[in-house]
Amino acid sequence: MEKRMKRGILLWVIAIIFGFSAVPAVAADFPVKPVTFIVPWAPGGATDVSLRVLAETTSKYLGQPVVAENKAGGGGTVGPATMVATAKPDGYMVSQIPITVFRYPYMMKATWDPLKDFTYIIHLTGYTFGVVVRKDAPWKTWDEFVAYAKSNPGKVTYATPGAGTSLHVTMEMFARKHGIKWIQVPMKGTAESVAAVLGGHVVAAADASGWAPQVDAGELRLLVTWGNQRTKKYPNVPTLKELGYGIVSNSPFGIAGVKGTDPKIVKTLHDAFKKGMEDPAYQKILEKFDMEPFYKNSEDYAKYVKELCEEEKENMEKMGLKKD
Amino acid sequence: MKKRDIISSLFWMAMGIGICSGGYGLDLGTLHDPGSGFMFFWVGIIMIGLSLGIFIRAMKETAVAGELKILWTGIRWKKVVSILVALLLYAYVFVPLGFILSTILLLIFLFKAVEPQRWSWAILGAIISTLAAYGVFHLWLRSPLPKGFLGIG
Amino acid sequence: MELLNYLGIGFSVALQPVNLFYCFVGVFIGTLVGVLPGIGPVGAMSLLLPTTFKATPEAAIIMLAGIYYGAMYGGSTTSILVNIPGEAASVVTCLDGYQMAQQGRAGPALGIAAFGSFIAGTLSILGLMLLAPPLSKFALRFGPPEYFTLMVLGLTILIYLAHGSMSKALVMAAFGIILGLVGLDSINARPRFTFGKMELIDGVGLVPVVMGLFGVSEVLLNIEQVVRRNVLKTRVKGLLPTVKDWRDSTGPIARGSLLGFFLGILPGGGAVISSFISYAVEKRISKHPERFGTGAIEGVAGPESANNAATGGAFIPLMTLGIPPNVIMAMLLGAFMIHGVTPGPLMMKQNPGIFWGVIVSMYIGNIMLLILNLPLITIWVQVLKVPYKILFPLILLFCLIGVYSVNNVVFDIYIMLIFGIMGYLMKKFGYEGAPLVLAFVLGPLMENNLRKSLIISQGDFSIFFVRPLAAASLILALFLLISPLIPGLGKKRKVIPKEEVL
Repeated sequence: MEKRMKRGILLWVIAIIFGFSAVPAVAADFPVKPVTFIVPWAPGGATDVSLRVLAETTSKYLGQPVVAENKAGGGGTVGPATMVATAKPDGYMVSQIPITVFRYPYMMKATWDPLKDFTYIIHLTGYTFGVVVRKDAPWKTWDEFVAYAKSNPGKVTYATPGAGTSLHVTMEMFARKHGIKWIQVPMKGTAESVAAVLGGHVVAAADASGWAPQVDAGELRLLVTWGNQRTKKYPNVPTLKELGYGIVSNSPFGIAGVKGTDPKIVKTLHDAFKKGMEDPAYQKILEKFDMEPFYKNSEDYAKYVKELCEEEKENMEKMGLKKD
Repeated sequence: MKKRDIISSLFWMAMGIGICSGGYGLDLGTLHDPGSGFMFFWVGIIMIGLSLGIFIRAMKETAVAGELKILWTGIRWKKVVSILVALLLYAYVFVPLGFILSTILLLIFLFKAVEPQRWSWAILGAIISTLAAYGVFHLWLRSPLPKGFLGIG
Repeated sequence: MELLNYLGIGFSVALQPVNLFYCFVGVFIGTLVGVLPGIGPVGAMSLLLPTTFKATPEAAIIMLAGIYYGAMYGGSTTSILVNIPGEAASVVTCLDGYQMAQQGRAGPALGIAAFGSFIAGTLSILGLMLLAPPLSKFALRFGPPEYFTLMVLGLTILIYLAHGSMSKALVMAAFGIILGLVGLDSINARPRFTFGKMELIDGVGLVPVVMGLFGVSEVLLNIEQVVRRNVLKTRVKGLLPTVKDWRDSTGPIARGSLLGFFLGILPGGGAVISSFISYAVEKRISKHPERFGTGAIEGVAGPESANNAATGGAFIPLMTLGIPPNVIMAMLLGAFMIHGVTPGPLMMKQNPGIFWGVIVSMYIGNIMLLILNLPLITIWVQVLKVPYKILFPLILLFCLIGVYSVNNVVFDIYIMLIFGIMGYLMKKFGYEGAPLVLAFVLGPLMENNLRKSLIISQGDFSIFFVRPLAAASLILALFLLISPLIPGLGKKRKVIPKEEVL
């Protein structure tokens, strides 16, 4: 008996010592407690790092902590899908919405409807995609690389962060257009892709700017980027567009809550995230990953989503990936 | 072990068959690009083979009378069942009742269930342990425990 | 001499009072979350990451790294005391550690775990310092085929993990692989065996499975016995390892450190796999393999050293290539980036202060951990003096809240209970949990790499034989499989009939 008391008291004391850091919830209006911010990717990539910084800068303006939580899987759809299935429309759970959320429903049976299940809050930015090869690869330019792939069907393997991601879809669209047969090797993220190229297990990697450190160190060669214009960081690397291939891909993304969220709450969140976006710390991290801010307010974002969904539907039809 | 092995091997065999058919339904793919069901199917086959092995060996063994009964005699299996039921119930009411209330109730039951203690001790112990756990996990580590209809927390 | 220079830089950074303080906070929190089930280093680090934004990059990384290796220290405590593995890496520690505690030798078990961790931690930091660049090149040679064959090799060590029937152990392994594959297909995001349950989309959680299989089932087995637990009132014999314990443990610690360090460099579950392999190795070369599973101190010393050495190894790909080999290193990568430091090939040149400061701080952190953990042993063994009727509700509470706090879903509690029941029945029917856990960890990696290999080779299986590292793994696996059959080469596995154990 005595022992139990002692143990209980000990635990209780520990609880009191550490309890002081608790945040009392007093404010009457939204928000009165921390907001959970779902990051639907494994920790460590460009998305994760930049969104963590955004969560931190936004906390300053929201008056409550914004807590980033990783829920990775399914090309970034598991997080939003889980939110739709579980969250209440009270604004205390929001998620990054990667483009796969609009794409998967046209590829397979999905548990969510991008046009009905979300309340879109704010649009943030897009990625810088590019294709890298190892420093000792024989191709100095994208055209040389493509020429090789064309004359050696099935010889070129390339890593992507997953099947159905924009990287995969764009590479296959390109291949279809130009009569190339190359092989996608789906990895789980940038880290795996970069390691596979460095180790020579795949020939190339198509990925978001997580390859930047290795490119800077001269271990990898960046052949091409997929943006509208050349990147600030690598002004010597051409874009697919200027090479005459007519492809621009950057997978723009924003933040959404679940459907039926009170417009007032949406406005509070939007205003806080907007200020968080303008914070120099966030701007700096975007620069690091060569990502361009691409702000849209709640209404414009919702409209934009309709366009994106149409686009995805068409693309999937074109590629023959659409579900019956 | 004869009877036990027969029972368990049949269980795993059924499981293996289920996994195999599930894997088959998931698309085996080709060797060039193995599909989602590839691994399930083959591991399922291996499982069936292994359980068949256990089954055959068990059939060769000589039976021991009352082998299954021994497993459950002389022990307090009713206590085990009651605790399991309590735990399942706990999981069921965890969110609606909230962490604090449901945990106090569970602990009181557990303190009383196996070797009954005095009510006062059980209740006090339950409250103290629950609050301590709440302090460490919720207040300090910020683990979002459910508040329940009382809205405590 | 260059190295001495760098060490000088490192010490001048790590010994700054502010950094010492952050180091201590890190290892302290690490020990705590290591002991608490459920909330692991990942949870604690993401929780504390924001608080480091205002600190200098050195201080932030030193603290976060401290949480990581500190948690590995603490991880063995609940395994030894109450058979609850807080994470997969300490499942093996349950096998002999819990038995030791049952015999009143919790003190030596915890002690050897702490000393082994300290020695292994220190050795792996030495390795990190001296061997980082060449080893990072070596790690890159592991592509999908090499991983697949390594996983096959990992599975063959089951032979040494199982006590009873081999075919039962293999059935458990097969089941473990399947269990690990439930959820979205890692290649095409197709739901597999999710039975329409949203919660299964993410797969079955490792923590609920191991805590159910080991922690909950052990409680159930104890409760049904009227007398069994009273035996435990045997005196706690000694708090520290004896001279004999030390003699038995020196070899395992050394081998475990080596294994852990090298396997830690490779992506995936380096710490988990190395702890399992270390156990297998010790059992394989032991003169008394039958003692394993009944409280052999080698079975604690080896695996505990291995999983701590793995933490040092894991830093190599991150710091030299910028490639995080596991989730925790990915989080550290994020922390570096937030503070404006880019880990990778240029880091040693661009930020020598941080690079060497962090490494040296790990030396200091390891010493702090030893000083912190040894006195704790006296407190921990007191737990075993608590009467079981009072202890078991607290153990269950510990499991319930720990499991819930990982993902905050009630579903995980159900999973834990299901596996608690399963573990209970498994014991009755003569099955063991360890092979299931090993296969559960290896399964997804195995499948993913098998499929990637076949995609790369376009269906040609020779990819596993023509690449030297892959072939070497397969040959070693084959040798392990047949060596017990060749007289004179290996000792025959001793099968202990389960009836006697029960």
